Amino acid sequence: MSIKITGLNHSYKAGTPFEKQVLFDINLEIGQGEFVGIIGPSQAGKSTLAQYFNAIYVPVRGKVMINGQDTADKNTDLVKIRHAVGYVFQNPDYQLFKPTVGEDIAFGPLNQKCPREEVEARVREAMETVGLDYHTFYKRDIFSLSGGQKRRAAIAGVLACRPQILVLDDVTAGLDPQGREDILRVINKLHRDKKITIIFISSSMDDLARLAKRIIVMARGRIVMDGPAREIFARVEQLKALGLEPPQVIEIMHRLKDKGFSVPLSILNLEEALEAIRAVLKKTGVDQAWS
Amino acid sequence: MADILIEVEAVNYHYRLSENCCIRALNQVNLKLERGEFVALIGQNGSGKSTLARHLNGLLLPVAGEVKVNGLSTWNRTNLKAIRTAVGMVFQNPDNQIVSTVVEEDVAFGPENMGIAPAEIKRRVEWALETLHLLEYRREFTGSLSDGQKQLVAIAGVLAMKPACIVLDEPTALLNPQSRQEVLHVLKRLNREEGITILLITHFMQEAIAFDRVLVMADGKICMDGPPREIFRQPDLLAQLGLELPLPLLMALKLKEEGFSLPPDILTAEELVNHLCQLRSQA
Repeated sequence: MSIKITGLNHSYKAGTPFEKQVLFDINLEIGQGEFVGIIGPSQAGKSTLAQYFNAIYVPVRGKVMINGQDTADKNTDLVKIRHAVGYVFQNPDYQLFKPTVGEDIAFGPLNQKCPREEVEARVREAMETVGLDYHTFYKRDIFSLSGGQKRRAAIAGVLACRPQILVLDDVTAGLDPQGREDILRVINKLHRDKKITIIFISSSMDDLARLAKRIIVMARGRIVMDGPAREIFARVEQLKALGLEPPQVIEIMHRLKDKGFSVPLSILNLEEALEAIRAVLKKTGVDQAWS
Repeated sequence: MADILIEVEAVNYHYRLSENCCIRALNQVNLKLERGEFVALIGQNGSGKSTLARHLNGLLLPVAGEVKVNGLSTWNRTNLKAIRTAVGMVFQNPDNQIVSTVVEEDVAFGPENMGIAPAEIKRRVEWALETLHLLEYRREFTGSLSDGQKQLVAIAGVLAMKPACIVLDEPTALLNPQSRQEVLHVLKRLNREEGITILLITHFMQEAIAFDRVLVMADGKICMDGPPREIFRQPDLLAQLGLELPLPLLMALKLKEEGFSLPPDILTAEELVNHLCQLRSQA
């Protein structure tokens, strides 16, 4: 399952005096099993682009091929594509619409004409995957859920359709640290164990630094950087100029470098940062006063 | 004597899920907010933060106990207008808050409802939009704005009512880092320059450390209350409550465990780097 986009442009309110172009000549290929992070300041076009991945938008200018099928082709079965490419919206309130958690998660598979037992099995599995206890939450009213629980229910609803590609639009926004940790673990597991291709849109560089192997940076409707996470995050000055905040570990590394510590700047997580600081402290002869 | 703006006394609250099933959300909560305070409220999802916030301007009424704003009890319906003018509320999701299709009309909605003269409304809308750097969007459709911009419009709408206190329920959750910084900057300025009391609910520890006072909630109770440096001095307790430490502090603690002599109350990247420099110069 792959995505290939060539020469994609998008305008809102096209053909009216309010026309506003938000995507400019997007060229992009995402292969089977990748974990791609998309980041950019607000109004960069991230969510607009993402909605082409499962044919919510169909191109007017440019071409979008999902698994070799042109989404603009009248003969392409868009419903099939939408089943294969799951989309979790930033705001779970846009996604959850049934009265109870169980009914909401069952909605997708029911639409896929799954037999009743299969639906139940999928709901159960999806709830388990996102860490919502089946017995506690199956009959729970959607409105009684906390933000983190809603987010998980929304992801479960998409997982129940058994997608091969999962597009997640800033799904960690608004979660507490524990909730964020849980969601990130779920996503990582889906990628690792179920080999689902993950396209993870986030405004948190810290989250992306930990998970994504490849980072796409968008700004003003264009892809401005695309490469391995380590390379992208090392370009702190450029990221800052785009209004993005580099991961805090990298910020700390840069401050140390400015003070004359010889630490590497291409660091992605806490462990690597600690290792680098440890090494440099030992080299300068700082004692570890065991007490 | 301290100038108490909001007083929460022994408040209990529960959500009724069905006939015989309740979820307890607030359990004997006591809190005093003084005029001009700059306070952050943290805690896990479901710890009661939003429920408490909704009590502060009478959106929810306690099942037991009392909430007073400027000495006026939220129990008394005739007080609610004055209370809601004094305590403005900004929600996590701006879509729950924005009522008009045009930005400046939305910002004018609050003051209009307060019965303020048109010329003054105009001035306030102008001021609120300018304070949040939104003037260029004043005639945009609210529906065409990004979530981040919508949130700024929601804040501007509350600001235009010139409240004594603004309670913000995770207003930065959906914003990108830059607009988040911008909102925090604005809040600080509103606090320092206009004397507006700020209570901000957040999940970002980096945000909490910039406040004068931090409240931590768990299981419907306020279980920690103090300046950030004191709160974050108790990493084990915070971990138990499912909260994370600011990254610089986490790094300092790990290095300290390995025997490097670093203080246990580092909060910012700058402090961490300075202490590491000191270590180096002592070597």
